[in-house]
Amino acid sequence: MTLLTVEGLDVFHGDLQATFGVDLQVAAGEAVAIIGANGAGKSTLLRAIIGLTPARHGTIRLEGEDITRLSCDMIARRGIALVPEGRRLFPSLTVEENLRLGSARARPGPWNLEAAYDLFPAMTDFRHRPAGMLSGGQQQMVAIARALMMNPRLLLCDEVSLGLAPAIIGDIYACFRRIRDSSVSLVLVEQDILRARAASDRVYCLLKGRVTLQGASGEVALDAIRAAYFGEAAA
Amino acid sequence: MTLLAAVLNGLMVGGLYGLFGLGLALAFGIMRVVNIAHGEFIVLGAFLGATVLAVTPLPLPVVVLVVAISAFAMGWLMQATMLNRLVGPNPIPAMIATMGLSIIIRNALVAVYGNNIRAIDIGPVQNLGIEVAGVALGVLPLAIFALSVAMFLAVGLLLRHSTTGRAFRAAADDFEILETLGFNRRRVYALAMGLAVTLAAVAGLLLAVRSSFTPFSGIERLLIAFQVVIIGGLGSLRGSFLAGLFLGVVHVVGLSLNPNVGPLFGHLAFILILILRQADLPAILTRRGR
Amino acid sequence: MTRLRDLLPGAALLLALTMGMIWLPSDTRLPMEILLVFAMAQAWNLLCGYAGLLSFGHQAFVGLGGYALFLTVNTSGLPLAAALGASVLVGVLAAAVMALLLRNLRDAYFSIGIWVLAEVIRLSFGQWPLVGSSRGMMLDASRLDLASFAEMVFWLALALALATQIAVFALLRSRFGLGLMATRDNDVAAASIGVDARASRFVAFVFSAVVCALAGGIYYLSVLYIDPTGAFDLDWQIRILFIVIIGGVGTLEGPILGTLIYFALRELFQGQGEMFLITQGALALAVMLIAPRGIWGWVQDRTGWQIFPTRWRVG
Repeated sequence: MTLLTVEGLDVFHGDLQATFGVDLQVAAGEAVAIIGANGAGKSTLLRAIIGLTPARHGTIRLEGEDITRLSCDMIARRGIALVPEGRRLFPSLTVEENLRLGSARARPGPWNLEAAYDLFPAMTDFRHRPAGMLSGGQQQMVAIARALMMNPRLLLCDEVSLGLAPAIIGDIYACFRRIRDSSVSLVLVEQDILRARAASDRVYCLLKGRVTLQGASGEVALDAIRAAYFGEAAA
Repeated sequence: MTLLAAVLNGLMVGGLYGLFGLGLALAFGIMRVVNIAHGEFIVLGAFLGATVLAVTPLPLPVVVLVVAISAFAMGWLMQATMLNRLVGPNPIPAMIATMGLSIIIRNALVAVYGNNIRAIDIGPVQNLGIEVAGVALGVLPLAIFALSVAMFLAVGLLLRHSTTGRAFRAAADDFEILETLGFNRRRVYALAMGLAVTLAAVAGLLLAVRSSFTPFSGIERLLIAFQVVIIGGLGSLRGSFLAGLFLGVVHVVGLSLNPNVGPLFGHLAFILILILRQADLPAILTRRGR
Repeated sequence: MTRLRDLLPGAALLLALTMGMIWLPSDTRLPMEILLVFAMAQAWNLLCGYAGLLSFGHQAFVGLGGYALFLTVNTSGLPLAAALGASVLVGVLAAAVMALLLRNLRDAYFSIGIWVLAEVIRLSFGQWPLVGSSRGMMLDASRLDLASFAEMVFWLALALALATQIAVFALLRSRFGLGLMATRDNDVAAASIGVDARASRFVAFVFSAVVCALAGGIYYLSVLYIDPTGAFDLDWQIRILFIVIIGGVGTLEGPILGTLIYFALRELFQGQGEMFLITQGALALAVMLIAPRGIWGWVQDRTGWQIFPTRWRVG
């Protein structure tokens, strides 16, 4: 059963077109990686799916319901959550207050404060600290936990590894297994090809706003991904 | 009036000044809207309260409640029908719109009530007094001061311990992310403006119980509220409260020295602070991108 | 290179309006006021619409210009031209001091900060015995030629209005104007190509202050009496704001249109002060909600018309 269907999506930033006729599917329980270089339109695609940047053309469906024209908060309440690029915690709120805001408009489901602290036990140590005073890795945990508190059907993760130490990236990626076990589907936007491929069932490659390659993560060759990533002709 | 009495009276007025500033700071901090009609809502609270007191037998506490509820509705409506369409990176449209609104309210008040100086008479309570450390203090001013402190505490509790309050603070930080958590930004903004106008109108009514007002008092009150925000800093309850007390003392002491200068001493104190604090102002005041 | 066809429509419009002002009315009093208010509005438009600084305190410059002229005439016996020079000087000085005090206040903080300063000036003049405190002062008219007085004041007002319009037009077409508009649209990008935002904002601020001070000087010269409540009245600012907003902020044609609308409305609402002000407030509010760039901005967005073209055209 397809959870998310994106068809022919054109998104603009002002006068600049960021994506061109993007098609994308995410099945229930699936993890999909979207890879591409800086400026390929990955983040814009996520912003369009959750309704922060309205699409100009094309449709977005969630379990068959057309959500293209819905406002961001309505889309969020239907079960799509975002871990934004740069983490964007509310710096003047404490960690726990950030999490509580995540659960305030949440759908029913398994994720609550307890489950979040169980997922990232380290968070208990700084739960009452202002979110603006955390390290990058700590912030990333809180950002993921905050989005999970919504009990989403689909979790959009934008560059969760950006700027973090490799060991911490490993910890963060380890949590995706447990998140998928709670029947949350994933979209992982990444620049790191290897990590994205390892953590996903299928990959999409974006180049200058267009899908240049898609396939099962285990099957697409690295060379083909590189070609699609940088826009070289496939050998 | 002795100096000590002036200072004490100033402190008691200052609590209300703090509330003026708090309302303005909430609206500005949360949605970057500077409500130029803030002063008019302060005065509207006074006129509304005076009218309800005059035409109904309701006691003052109930009238305060009536004014609070009507003010909340007005603030909510203003945000929902007008200002939500104007919030954005450029603060000028909302300022001009609320400037227009302030002109409408001010002159509508003149048209309805005339431009005489008014005062609210609430009967014998007004003259009750007690003596503290050799200074005669009115029971009414003390009660009003206690109420303004209570309102500060209530706003603090709301911001810290309720979902709505946390959403207010989060909206000030990053409204987009708040939307991705399922909050309707327009609704959050409308609630915040409702609260801001409620604080203005209730404080305005309480001030009117102890001093006179005209339809034109709104300008002076807006400038006081603004000075409280600048002196006390944005997003700090304690800062607003202390800045209010400071301006209250400066005003009352200033008036006891020269009753003809109005708010001049308060303005001058504000300018002095502006000069002294040139260095650390920009951090609070630079425009944030949206 | 300046092309003739860029200048012709504007010149023709100014000529037609000037002719109208000179020939149509029998009394010069109303035309004089129209011209002065227009000059203030156009100068404030440069500040708000192009430099991005929204001031709620320009009534200060109107009053200061008036008082500077009165004090110079009454105390020094210098000729009128020197007294108008005093208005200019006071406008420059006041603007410089205010800019210094407000230099770290941006956006809303600037808008209300300057309002506080204007109030301080109003309240201080009310306490200053030399200018008659709150009672105000009369102009010593003993050396004025009262026969040609009204006409002279009219010509002064006309000169100020035309000079302001032409100066703003020329400023905006110069390098300075390009920098100003670049700063308004994107100050980070403008700074990166070497535009000094602070300097260009300062120039626009001083210019607007000087025009308002001169207009105040000429206006109170015609009245022969000045008092702090009237001279520093917020109504000056409301009038300017209304005209610019209705006509179209950030367009050179807007203040002309706005001035005509303002005075037409004033004639319509004669004797109903509150209703007139309420209408102004409501119209300003409505414009912000419906067409934030005002009437001329609305027209311009649809037709591309510019009577005073400020952007260089290709070809």
